[in-house]
Amino acid sequence: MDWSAIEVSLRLSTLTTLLLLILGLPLASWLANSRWRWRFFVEAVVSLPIVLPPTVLGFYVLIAIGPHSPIGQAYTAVTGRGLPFSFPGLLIASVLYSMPFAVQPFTAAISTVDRRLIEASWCLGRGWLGTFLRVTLPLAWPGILTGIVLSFAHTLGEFGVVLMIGGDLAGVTRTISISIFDHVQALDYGAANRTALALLLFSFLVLALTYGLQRRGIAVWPRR
Amino acid sequence: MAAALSLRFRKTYPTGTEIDVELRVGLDPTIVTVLFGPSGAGKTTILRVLAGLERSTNCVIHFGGETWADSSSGVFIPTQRRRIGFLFQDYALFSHLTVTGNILYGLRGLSAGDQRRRASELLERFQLQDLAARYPDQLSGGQKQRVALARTLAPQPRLLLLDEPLSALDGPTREALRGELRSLLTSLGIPVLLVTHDRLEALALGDEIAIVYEGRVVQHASLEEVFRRPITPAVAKIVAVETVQRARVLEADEEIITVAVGRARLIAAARDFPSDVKEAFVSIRAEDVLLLKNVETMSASARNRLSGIVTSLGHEGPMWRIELDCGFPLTALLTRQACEELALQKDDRVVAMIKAMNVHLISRSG
Repeated sequence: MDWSAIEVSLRLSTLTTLLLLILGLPLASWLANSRWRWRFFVEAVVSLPIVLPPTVLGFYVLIAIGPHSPIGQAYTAVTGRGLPFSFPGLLIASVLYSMPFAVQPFTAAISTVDRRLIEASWCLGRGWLGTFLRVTLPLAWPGILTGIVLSFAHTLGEFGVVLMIGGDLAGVTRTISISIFDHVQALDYGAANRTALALLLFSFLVLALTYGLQRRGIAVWPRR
Repeated sequence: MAAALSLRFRKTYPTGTEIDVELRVGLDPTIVTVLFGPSGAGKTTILRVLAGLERSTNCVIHFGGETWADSSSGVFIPTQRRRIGFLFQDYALFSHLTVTGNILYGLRGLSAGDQRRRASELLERFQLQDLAARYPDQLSGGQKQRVALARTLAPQPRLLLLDEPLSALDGPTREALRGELRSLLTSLGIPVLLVTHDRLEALALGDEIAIVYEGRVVQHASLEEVFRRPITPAVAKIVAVETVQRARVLEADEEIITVAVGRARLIAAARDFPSDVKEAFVSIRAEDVLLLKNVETMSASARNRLSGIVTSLGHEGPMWRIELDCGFPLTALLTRQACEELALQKDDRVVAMIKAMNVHLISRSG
């Protein structure tokens, strides 16, 4: 089993999910409440990764963070390193690639929170942020959990984007799916099977647990 | 000039409905002002604009010396800083918080000890001690209403807005709580604005009434005034009852209740009138008043017979509207034919007869 690949995959998935929480919740909250007429435009952009081949997304991200782009140049100026074929570069691509899997469930969950409860909170003196943290978040929690799990699992399984942006550097950008590919290329089906089976079981367990909890309506959020 | 809440705004919905409201309410803590009118007239919108939950063009709101909104100068104080209490129609309790959690929600800027004290004070006042740890989905309609009231009052709002406070309850609970709510509202020490489309609710809870019709406040006066002198046919149709007078219970038994109204006495069917209540409103529809000139023709004994003087007569569609003084102002509605048969004139002496079952009593506790 390629433990360093597993380590890279878990680190990438965790950080991607964390970033998607930080970026995705405000975006989802805006999408759920905005009456802006061009909102659908933003929704379409967020959902693009669902339909785009990973190579297309990977290609444009590669250009966008490459040494000739403003982002790439700024990064190099600060850190002295380049973004392509590095872990931070891979992280940026992963966040974009998994965005719909976080933002869509977040938005759906936030939309289901009764508008009156938000207004009741305002009338009781709570501001926008206080209301979001104390009313919206707890009530939308099941959907937000779904988004967390889906983006984690989706990042864990990504292949095309990793190959385009990260390349195949052991311990840096070689994730589980790339490792399996390498084993197969080397005709080492035994090793490929061990890693693949581990990934399959892990993904299944996480999803089963999430949907199981959802179905039983368990308040994953602590009731106070 | 006494402190007042004044409100003016205009709002047009995409459907074409236009609301154009002007309202001025004295900030007298002993007075409950009822916004009354048919569903969809714009009553709730008025409350929402007052609360700052809805914005509109040409909006000017003054609360005492404060300006809450003024579109011309761009002033808009957000809901959070108006310090109002808003009771939502369906109560809008936080389903993820317990009864205590709901009450504590609006208590900020107090020490933990003070918060706890205030919460237990409210739990006691609304008899919620035994329910403190429950969640809203474990409460009955009446209990939910009490929790919502306690939560609304917890931060000590300066103005209380209630949107159809009883409509989410089932019939018997609604009737039981009507009286209780009135005594609560008058004991709060803050001005109250209440929205309802239910006439009984308006009569049981209000002091002043503002009739809202098709997006406008068409009449605003005391309850008796509006019911007795609706200024337009539309208002008359909305209030639907011509005579509304304060009454005092003199005697009550299982079947009938005797009340004093002005200088007269009336007998009313007891129905479900609470036996311990002394103050009431009596309401009589004009078509239930029978007029006679010749006293000898009277027969039935279970009726109220009142001698009175005709103070005015006037057309109302195909009917004649007769105003009488029977020790209290009473309105009768007669067909033209009946009116001609009686040859009624102003200052004529007549006898008005009303069946006991047509004299409706509405309790006014507190």
